[in-house]
Amino acid sequence: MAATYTCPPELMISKVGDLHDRLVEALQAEGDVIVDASAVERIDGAGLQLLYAFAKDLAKSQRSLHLNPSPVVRDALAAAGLTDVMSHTLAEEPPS
Amino acid sequence: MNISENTTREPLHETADGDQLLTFVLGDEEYAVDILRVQEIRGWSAATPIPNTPSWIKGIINLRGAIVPIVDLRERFGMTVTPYGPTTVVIVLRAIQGEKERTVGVVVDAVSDVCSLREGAVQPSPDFGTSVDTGFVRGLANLAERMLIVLEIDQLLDFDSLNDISARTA
Amino acid sequence: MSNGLFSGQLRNIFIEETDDGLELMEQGLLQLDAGTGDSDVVNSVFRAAHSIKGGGGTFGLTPMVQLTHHAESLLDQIRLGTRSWSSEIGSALLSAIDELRSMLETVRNGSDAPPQPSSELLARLESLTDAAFGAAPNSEPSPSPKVEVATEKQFHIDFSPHADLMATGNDPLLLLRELQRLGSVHVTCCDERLPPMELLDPRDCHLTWTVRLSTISTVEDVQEVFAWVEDECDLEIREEPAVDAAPPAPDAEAPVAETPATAPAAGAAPAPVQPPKDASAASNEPSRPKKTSGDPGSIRVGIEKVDALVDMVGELVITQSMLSQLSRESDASRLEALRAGVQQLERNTRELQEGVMRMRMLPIGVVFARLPRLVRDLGRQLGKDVELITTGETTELDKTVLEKISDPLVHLVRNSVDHGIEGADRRQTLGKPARGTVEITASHRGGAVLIEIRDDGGGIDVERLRAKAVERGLIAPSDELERAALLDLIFHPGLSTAEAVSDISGRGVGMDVVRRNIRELGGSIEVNSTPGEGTRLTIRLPLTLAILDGQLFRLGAQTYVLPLVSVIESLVPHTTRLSALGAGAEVYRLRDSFIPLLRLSKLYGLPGDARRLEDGLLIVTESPQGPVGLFVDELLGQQQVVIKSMETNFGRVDGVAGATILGNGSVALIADVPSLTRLHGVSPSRAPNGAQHCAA
Repeated sequence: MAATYTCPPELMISKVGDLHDRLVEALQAEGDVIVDASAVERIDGAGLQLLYAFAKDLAKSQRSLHLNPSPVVRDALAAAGLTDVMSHTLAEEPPS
Repeated sequence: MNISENTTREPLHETADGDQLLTFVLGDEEYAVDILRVQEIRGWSAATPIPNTPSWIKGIINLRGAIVPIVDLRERFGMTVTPYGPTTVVIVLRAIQGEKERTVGVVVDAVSDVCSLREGAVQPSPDFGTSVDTGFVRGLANLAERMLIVLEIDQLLDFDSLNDISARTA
Repeated sequence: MSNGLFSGQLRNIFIEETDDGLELMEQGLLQLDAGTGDSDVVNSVFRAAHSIKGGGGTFGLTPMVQLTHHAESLLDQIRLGTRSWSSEIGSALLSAIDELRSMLETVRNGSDAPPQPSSELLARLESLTDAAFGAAPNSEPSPSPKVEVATEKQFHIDFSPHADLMATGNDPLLLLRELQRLGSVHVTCCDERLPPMELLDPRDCHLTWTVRLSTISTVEDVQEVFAWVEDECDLEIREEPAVDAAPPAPDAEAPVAETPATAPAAGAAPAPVQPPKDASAASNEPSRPKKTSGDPGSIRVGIEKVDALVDMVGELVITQSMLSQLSRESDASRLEALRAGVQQLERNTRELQEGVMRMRMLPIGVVFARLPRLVRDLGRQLGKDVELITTGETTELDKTVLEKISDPLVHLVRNSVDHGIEGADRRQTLGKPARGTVEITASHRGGAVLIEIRDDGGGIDVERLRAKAVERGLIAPSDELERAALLDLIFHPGLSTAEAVSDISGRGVGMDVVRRNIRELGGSIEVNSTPGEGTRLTIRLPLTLAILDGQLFRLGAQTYVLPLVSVIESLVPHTTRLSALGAGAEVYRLRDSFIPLLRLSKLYGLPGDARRLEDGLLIVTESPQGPVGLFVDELLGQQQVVIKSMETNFGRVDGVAGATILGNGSVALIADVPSLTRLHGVSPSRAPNGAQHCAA
């Protein structure tokens, strides 16, 4: 059973603090994680960095992350050269 | 008062939605305006006169930072002028001419009350033959023995046709 | 990406940037056409087209992509030197810009499917692109720019933001996107410095990037992307060896931003970047226009934010003046400190107000920009050779004044070309140079902006003007009008119709509208003309709309305000110096000259106190017709006032520029001298003939 964390429409430096806290908690839990970024309309470097940092840390404990990105997020990942490293999180089927 | 039917008249004027009117007194008669056009009611304060304007335009005042012209309706309608006192009242109205919205204050003797009229209660007015130009009058309404002259604010406060107006008033 | 607030904002940015890009292209093309462009210009036009194509693609605006692609192909040939410039190419590309502008307009109005480009234009562009190499047939050889081969360069960029880069309001993502727009990029992100989540402050930046960029841009362009964040990152830009790089002396003005602390990882020390030799190192022409988003010198701010600030400052000025008044009226000595504080507040407010007003100011060059194109096109249409000379482009005006003066100026310049400048043949018979000149200059004069439009055309035929005016019943045949008054007739609605124009060799349609628009801005316009030599139009406009340094005066029971800048002097007048000219006109002898005397109480129809001249005061002010004297009761203080419009709730009043709220809360009218002189009927001052002394 995967826990879902939903990103706000504005995933910018002013809003990352809250999501960061929740994701830190997620790291201390167990099981796979879904980060729902489908509603994200604006994202900046801080938002991207947070998503990436979380993905990186989650991978260390062999839990899988499914990122459900909005087109904006996809585009931003590509612009920042993060698409490859995040590709495993962008797989089609979310964990159940 | 006998209002005769006249088949060549324009269709009956209907009051605006809300059907509420603010009534006020000028001399011996009672007038009414659409309540939705009333912004506020104030006492009289000195106005700065505007050059080369008819005497019924008293001038402009500072209404919380906005420049608002004040009009004396008694003078406008050609009635005798009375001096202003502490009971003199100014009704601040919103007039809409096309796309332009104006805020204008009118000096009246006293404010009466707010009343509701059912739709269709305003009858077109016959030609008075008085100095009140019937272009400004939307119609007449009968309310429990009171006759109210319902004014068409947008027409009344149209300064753009100032030249025409000053030619028409007595 | 066609829904959501974000894409709306992205769209707006695209629209604005495309606007800028099209303007840049137009300016560049006009330069190339006039023979004053060079390879830098070609490159920047090409890049702009490329950007617009890219942006259009992102939003699926296929017609724009298609048209831009055609333009880009042609431009590509020019910049690579495989095709030389011709005026036909210039015309085709300018037409392309016009169509792109119309397409952009539909996008601006909400459309996602702008109209297709005209097949005629596409065919033109294609044929120009496909024509046999060299000069296109049938075109006049116009001076070709010194186009040299521009090569694609490779840059290696190491971008390591400091931890606080994001906290200072910058965004590495935006910077990376900027780089993307310069060409094609390969971006690699490095997470070495990224701490674990528990220790991570998400507002700090711990990612670094390496970007390989292929572009035709210069290293300065690349550096400009990072101009904002120079102090908040470690940046290294290296140009990989390109084919053509000969080693000219390194340009001292464009040092590579090198990393002080972290030594570059690569073994070889980065070679100093060689500026490509064809980029004119001598000229300081920026290779990117000032208005792109990479420019550190400016930011885009919504105009409503500026207006809100302007309003707030206006209210602040009123409050401060109220306090000043109170402090002046209080006389207890312990209020000295209060007074000092209030004076300080006055200074602060004034500075703030000046700063805010400056935000609204834009250079008139913004409006002048469309004129060369207009003159070129119109001249060609009419078969005339006309040159437009502009001066004073940096003269600044309030944005709203600028917007409203734009159309009148266009109108007046059109008139000069259309009706003023004669055909080449006629000019030659008159001994004039075949090329006609229209000159437009802008300058600051006192508290106003002066704009002059001069042409060396045929001038205005005053006699025909008079004849027409008589014919239309505007003046009686026996009326004797001064030349100035006759010339003024061109502004009369009765003579300003199309029908009238075809018969007069004077100005064209809509001069009355032009004058009305200018007056509504609180400005004035005059015309002067010498037959056979030319015509000059002089427009005066207020510098700012909202705040005025005022000289207060009293007339009767009311306080009025006069713009301080127009006050020359004030004095107690003497009846002995007053003369009547008949028809109610009076003049006053001021030292060696005579100035018209305007009795404000008469002009305003409002009572004044002073009966004899000696009981009142004469304020000598500037007017478009020279100095005039305003007769008032008393001079009051000076203060800054916030101009409030009479038109919101009332309408225009002759002789009044607006109203203001004084410190005591009452309303004071602001006197408008130009319209007062009109009310009075003042002609340019001259000595009276047969003057009589005026009885007291």
